[in-house]
Amino acid sequence: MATIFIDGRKIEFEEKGKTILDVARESGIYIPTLCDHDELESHGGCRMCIVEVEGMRGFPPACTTAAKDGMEVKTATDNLMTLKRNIMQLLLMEHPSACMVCAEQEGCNKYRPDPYKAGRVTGCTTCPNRYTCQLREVVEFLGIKDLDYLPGYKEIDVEREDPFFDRDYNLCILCARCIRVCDDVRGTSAITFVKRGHETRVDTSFGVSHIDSGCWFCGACIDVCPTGSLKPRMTKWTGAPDSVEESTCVLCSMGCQTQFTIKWERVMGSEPGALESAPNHGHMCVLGRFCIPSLVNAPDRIKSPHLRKEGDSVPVSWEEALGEVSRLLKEASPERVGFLGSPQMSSESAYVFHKLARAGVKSPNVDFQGSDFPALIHKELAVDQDFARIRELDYLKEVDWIISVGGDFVKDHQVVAKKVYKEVRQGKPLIVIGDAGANLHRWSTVHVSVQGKDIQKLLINLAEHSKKIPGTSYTQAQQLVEITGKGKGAVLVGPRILESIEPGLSLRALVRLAGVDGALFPLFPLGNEAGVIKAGLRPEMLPGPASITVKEAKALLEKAWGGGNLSDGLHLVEMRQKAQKGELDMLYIADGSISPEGFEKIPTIIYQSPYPSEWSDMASVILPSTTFVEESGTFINLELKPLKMKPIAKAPGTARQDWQIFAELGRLIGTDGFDHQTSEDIWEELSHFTRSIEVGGQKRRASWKPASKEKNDWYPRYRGAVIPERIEDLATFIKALPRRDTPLSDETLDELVKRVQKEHASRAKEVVS
Amino acid sequence: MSLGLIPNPFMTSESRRESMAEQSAVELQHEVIPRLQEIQEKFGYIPQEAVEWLSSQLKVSSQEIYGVATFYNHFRFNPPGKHEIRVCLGTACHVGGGEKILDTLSERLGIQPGETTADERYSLERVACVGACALAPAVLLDDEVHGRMTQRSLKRLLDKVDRADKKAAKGSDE
Ligand code: SF4
Ligand code: SF4
Ligand code: SF4
Ligand code: SF4
Ligand code: FES
Ligand code: FES
Repeated sequence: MATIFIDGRKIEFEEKGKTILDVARESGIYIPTLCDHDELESHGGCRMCIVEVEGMRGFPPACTTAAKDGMEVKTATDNLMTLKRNIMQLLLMEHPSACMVCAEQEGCNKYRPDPYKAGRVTGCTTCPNRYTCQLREVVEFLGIKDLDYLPGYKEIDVEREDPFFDRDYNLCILCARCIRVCDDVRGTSAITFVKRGHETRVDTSFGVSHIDSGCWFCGACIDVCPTGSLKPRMTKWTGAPDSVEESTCVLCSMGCQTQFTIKWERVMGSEPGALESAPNHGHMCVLGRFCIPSLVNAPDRIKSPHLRKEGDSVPVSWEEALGEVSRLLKEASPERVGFLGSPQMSSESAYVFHKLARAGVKSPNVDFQGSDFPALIHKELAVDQDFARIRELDYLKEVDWIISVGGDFVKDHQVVAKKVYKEVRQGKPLIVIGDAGANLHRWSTVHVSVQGKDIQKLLINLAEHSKKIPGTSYTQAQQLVEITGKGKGAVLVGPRILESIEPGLSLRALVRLAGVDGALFPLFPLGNEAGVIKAGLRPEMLPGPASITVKEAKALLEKAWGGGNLSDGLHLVEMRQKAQKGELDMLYIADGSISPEGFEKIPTIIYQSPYPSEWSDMASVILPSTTFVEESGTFINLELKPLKMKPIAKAPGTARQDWQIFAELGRLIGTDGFDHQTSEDIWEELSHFTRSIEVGGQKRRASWKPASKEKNDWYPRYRGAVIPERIEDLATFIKALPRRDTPLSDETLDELVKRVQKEHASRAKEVVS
Repeated sequence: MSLGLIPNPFMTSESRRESMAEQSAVELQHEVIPRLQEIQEKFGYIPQEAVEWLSSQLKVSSQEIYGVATFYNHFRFNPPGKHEIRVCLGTACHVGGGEKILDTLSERLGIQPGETTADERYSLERVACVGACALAPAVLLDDEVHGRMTQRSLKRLLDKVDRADKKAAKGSDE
């Protein structure tokens, strides 16, 4: 323990690398700061945190000065305050300060609480940052009531050309937080300071758009900016929210804890939760950060149940619709009905759906799109009971190297990427097998662009530490063996591992390679795959998940459900084949993202979703369900951690939670065991079933690939809503991705000179003529 | 990988040295600058394509390279025009109205300082004292000093260059 005196207060602290600022904050002493941020390394740029230290010359910044035993620190002497005010006065020369020094400020805030929509920010009243502004806080702390110098407006054009957020650098105080978070934390480096001295500004190389500078629109820069310079375009002017609620984003398998701003009972915005809140620790991706409000508030959401009468789909009451569905389900011959759930449902909903199929209707035909990948993971890990290898992402700290196979995780799991970068930045080797975009090109120690079938051979040889590795050069192979030969590894595996001939063997090779203390992170692309698999929504699986071939599991379930059809049934691809042959009478489908191709001949389709899709036109019955911000339930993320979804917004019309609809149908059919009142009841029931998987290979299937219109395997959907089709900004961004992901150049400088000069000459000619 | 170089407008070099902030990748910076110099020698300036190329070579983002490049005054990002005009904005010339001269040139050529006209005939730059303070405000045209510039003498100077160029172009056509 060391001792320090701050403003006469005696404070004990542990000396390990702490700054004066750290110690002051821990003991509740406020020192104003502008460039400092919890997540970033000290920068020492703004000088707002300067202090006086006995025996030290000058005014060292508290944020960069190490706290040492016996130090005597003063934070607010007259001298310091004058200096700080002067620094701030200089800063305010170029910042819209009208409101900060306005005598009417208090009354203005009270009587005109909403922000004024304005093209240009002239002061706090017209600033999207008016509710929480760190710059203003410091100004208030310093007690600045008037300006010492005549202010000038920087006259920089507001940048509005890029998707999702505006940049008004007229408000920028050059604290470099945005640049540092983008460089050091997200590993993207989409922005930088250009020029120097008075001309310094935040910009990109040659002023290209953010789309071309490699920005992922993760929003991290917005979240650290202490001013109103960076703001999401969508939510800029919505004003103060009625409340802020924390819940889970389900648009990928990360399950980010998200702070939703609620106004008029709707989600108006979404921001990452607190820095200490796992699993995402204050970070998100473009989907969660910018797309949720437009997605859940879509005007075309299904608002009431519909029945097809004389060819037209007409709105009806729930009573009528559910009466009809229960009649249909009761009359159907069980083997000829299919049930397709969604990886974006809650685990509870998937469980009740499963129960409705097997126990209510007595049909074993259950599946969901994308089930092959989570099923593969579960079945292969069952071989040696390796489930403990799926760990929390923080375990990345513990491993010695990282390998990624089966997809560019920077694209579809941006928050995982952020965590990986943290290790890479500290020098941990990263091996990338397969796709790599700009970030992975920079981050990877070794990148092997082997695809598809060859992956298997590569992995198996690598696991045996053989240097005969297909698709690699001699040095690469040597490097690979050297890196993976020592210590423990972490494996990031994406669904494209299913492209190898025997995906199971590839996966097991990876598990062996990582070692007993290694870690496996399955990057489920769609969302709650792990939860829906826990509910056992596969024809050869039962809740737990368990295999139908495991007698004890079957017996347990029979007892719990009082019977039901617990045999093997049809999976998605087989259902489609049967449907084509006219051998399927009815389909209950709760995922509009599945392509309806091949299902046209089915006479009766029950479609349940928050969103209309191609299925709406084919359905006999349409049942409106809620989205993840309107329901309660459990989401299991890629770390296999259960996370809670909370109903924080009002669903449109009479939409109901999926599990409520399924439970009601179970009751109407007359089956016991559907009297669940809350999602907690269901979770409790589901928790009784534990993992019990028969060791055995995965039947080879071709149902894993989500249908995509664009030639881009990342085309996010949510229960039938194609997100980029609804959000133009997202489409613009996704379209630009292939252009950005060009392979590294192998030109020599002389070749480059020749090429550029040629292009240049032909361009110059155009100008002259 | 970060270059660890964020030019800091508030910071003196002294406080930078004192700073506890990590400057881990300083070597990389040492690698970037000689490469940029090499590029400038070959092209006469630093084209965007070359920054992208270097980014790919060094596995460093283009923005970081560009940031470093613009921090140092001796890199230029536009091809030098056939005629290089440098306007002095040193103290004497500044007081003597150098800014106005620069604005006029900017307007006439349709470019900002640091840029080159689309036909690549002119490039415009601002410089610090060129050692002709007695002749303030001074303009350098193709390294030749023209002193005591006024709006009128500036116009005359450029008109003359334009005429000469036109004549030369005709001559080469025939
Ligand atoms: S950034 Fe802060 S201080 Fe500046 S105008 Fe906006 S609210 Fe006011
Ligand atoms: S949105 Fe993310 S990637 Fe883009 S500039 Fe900001 S921090 Fe960087
Ligand atoms: S944009 Fe915001 S975070 Fe970035 S330097 Fe300016 S004030 Fe700081
Ligand atoms: S990373 Fe996944 S869970 Fe997190 S915000 Fe993005 S889509 Fe949502
Ligand atoms: S917070 Fe210490 S210098 Fe900015
Ligand atoms: S200031 Fe212009 S020549 Fe000296």
